[in-house]
Amino acid sequence: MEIGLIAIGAGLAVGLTGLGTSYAQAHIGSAGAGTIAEKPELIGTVILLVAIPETVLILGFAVAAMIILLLT
Amino acid sequence: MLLPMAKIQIIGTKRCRDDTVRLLQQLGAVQIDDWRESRAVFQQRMTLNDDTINRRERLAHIITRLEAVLTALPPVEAPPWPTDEKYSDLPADQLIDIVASELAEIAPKAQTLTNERNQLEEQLGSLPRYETNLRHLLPLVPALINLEDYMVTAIWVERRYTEALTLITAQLEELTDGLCEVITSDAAQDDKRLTAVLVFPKTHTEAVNALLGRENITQVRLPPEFANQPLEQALSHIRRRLRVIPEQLAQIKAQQESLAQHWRPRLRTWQALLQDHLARIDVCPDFGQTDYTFVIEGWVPQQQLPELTTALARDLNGEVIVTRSPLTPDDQPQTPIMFANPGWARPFEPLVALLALPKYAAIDPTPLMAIFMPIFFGLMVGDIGYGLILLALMFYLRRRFASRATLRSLAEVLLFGSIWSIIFGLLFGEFFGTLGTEFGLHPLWFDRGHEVQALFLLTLGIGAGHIVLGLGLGVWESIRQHNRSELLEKGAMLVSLSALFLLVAILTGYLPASLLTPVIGLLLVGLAILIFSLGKLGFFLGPLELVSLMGNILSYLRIAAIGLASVYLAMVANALAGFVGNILVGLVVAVLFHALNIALGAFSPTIQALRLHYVEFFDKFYQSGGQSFRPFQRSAKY
Repeated sequence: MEIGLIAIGAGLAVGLTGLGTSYAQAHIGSAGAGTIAEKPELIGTVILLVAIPETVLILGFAVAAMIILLLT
Repeated sequence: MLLPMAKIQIIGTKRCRDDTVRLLQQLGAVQIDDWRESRAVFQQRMTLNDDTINRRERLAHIITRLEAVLTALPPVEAPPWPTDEKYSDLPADQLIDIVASELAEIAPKAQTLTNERNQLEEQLGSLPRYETNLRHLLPLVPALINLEDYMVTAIWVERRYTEALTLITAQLEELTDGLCEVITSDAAQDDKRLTAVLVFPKTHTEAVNALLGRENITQVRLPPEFANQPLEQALSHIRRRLRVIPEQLAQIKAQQESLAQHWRPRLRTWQALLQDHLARIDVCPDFGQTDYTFVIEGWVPQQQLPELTTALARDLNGEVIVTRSPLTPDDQPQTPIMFANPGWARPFEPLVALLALPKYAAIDPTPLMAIFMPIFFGLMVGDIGYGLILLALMFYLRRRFASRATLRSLAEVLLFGSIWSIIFGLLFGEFFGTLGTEFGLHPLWFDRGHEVQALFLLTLGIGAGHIVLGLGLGVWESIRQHNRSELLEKGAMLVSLSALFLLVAILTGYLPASLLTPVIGLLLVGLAILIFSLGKLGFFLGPLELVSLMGNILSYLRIAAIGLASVYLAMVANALAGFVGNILVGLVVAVLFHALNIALGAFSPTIQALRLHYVEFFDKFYQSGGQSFRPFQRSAKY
């Protein structure tokens, strides 16, 4: 039971941050695609902008890892 | 590393202007700046005289004609034309005349062949449609004999509007006083359409056409060449044409290719020479002038300055001189940049340029990126088997894209990455995931699939080191540029971060607890300087900066995350293959999964390693905003 709850907690930490990140990336990505169509030289900046929200997911991953490593 | 640039002024007598421009173009070492009002008051922008303007128009015209012929000739693999020397020294007018007379010979031939080819290709597309139409009309033909005073028109009606045919028949009868016939038969139908033939007196042609147009009825029309033939004859004619067209097309293609083989290299050489002439005219309005002299301002890589000075003095009898102007801070934004990295770092230049070029005299991060990016990539993939496959693939791609610089660079970047993948594969004991263990492979360092904590600590340590290096470079850059506020900010970040590391060491028992007070003091000092350096909003931004710095380091956990995903996918591939039972099917499943993992392994780690550099590392010291060095040079080497 306890292991199950730990797993659910870790899953939520990664899953919810993943949803948040993908929501942000979807919006930034579509705007970025429009930007590249008009100014291809800005591709580097667009990659950078798309990549920024990923940190949230990595933090979620860190929390999930801590939940598993510290509680099991 | 960026090449040091020299700002220069080239001054000469006006009669030497054209020779100077030609020499500069040949040397290809000088970027010429546009003339600006701010130049010395006694200078004006150089203007072109009427002769030159006419010559420019003729050049532009002949280049357009030449390019039109080039597009009419198919691209072929042909060696460059070796007899170009006799043209390269010709004056523009003479070259234009020669090219014009040659174009008069080739252009009509190329155009005729293109037209014929287009016509045949169009027929090849349209005749099968006519063939189908005629085939549907043929069953109605016996009814259409000896109708000299009558007009025969075929129409299509969509099957779902079949009732429309009854309406049309009624209207047609009313229009022609019953002197008409609408013929249709079951054989003249297909799934979607019904074909019908209308017969009516020729005197009513216009009225019937108007009626059909009004009712939106599609008339079946044949190409003009078949229009006046009996249907059966037209059909067999069309079928005959369809048989011979492919052969005729092949003949025309062969003729075009042999023409291209002979003419393309010549046309390319002339195109380059003519464009050089045009560029030599177009650059002149960027010069300044006085009554007797011309003045060129521009940039040259410092190491090429002596060569330039000697060449100008030697070839132009001392009538043209080069002077070097001192670089002022105001010049920096305009100073062009040119990379000068060792061979191993060069493939990473396009990746730096992808974000933005560095400012002149700022740090070029290419060598650092060349060191760290492959290591990050290798850490994420970390598998001997995947590394070997990627290595072989990248060797192949490197050779395959030898002439395409960017793709070649990318292949080389991944090539370095795959070497590190093999090294980390040995350290982590991975060969296609857990497959190596079956054959007695043991990790030289630790098994990252099971010792996750060690992997996390390793990546966090690498992240901390990378960020500290970035901050250190930021501090050094601000000292070099005498930027006090930047120095304070970066220095304070470095102090605070060091204090945080020490704090972690104390809390985990690596350092004695007695150091806690001085370390907290150090952290507060660092934070206070950071708040001070950030100005009015420092109280909010300072702590935020520190938290974001921690976020930056945690971000390196992605190396562990992607690495673990790769390990587990490889494990799944092997386990699934084991579950299947049948060796062959198991092998196919394993190969498919591993192939997917390799494809992901080439793509995802590249993007993540790139991101760690762009977002986390560059942010600490990188100063972008440079413009690439664009020398005035010949359009192609021939």
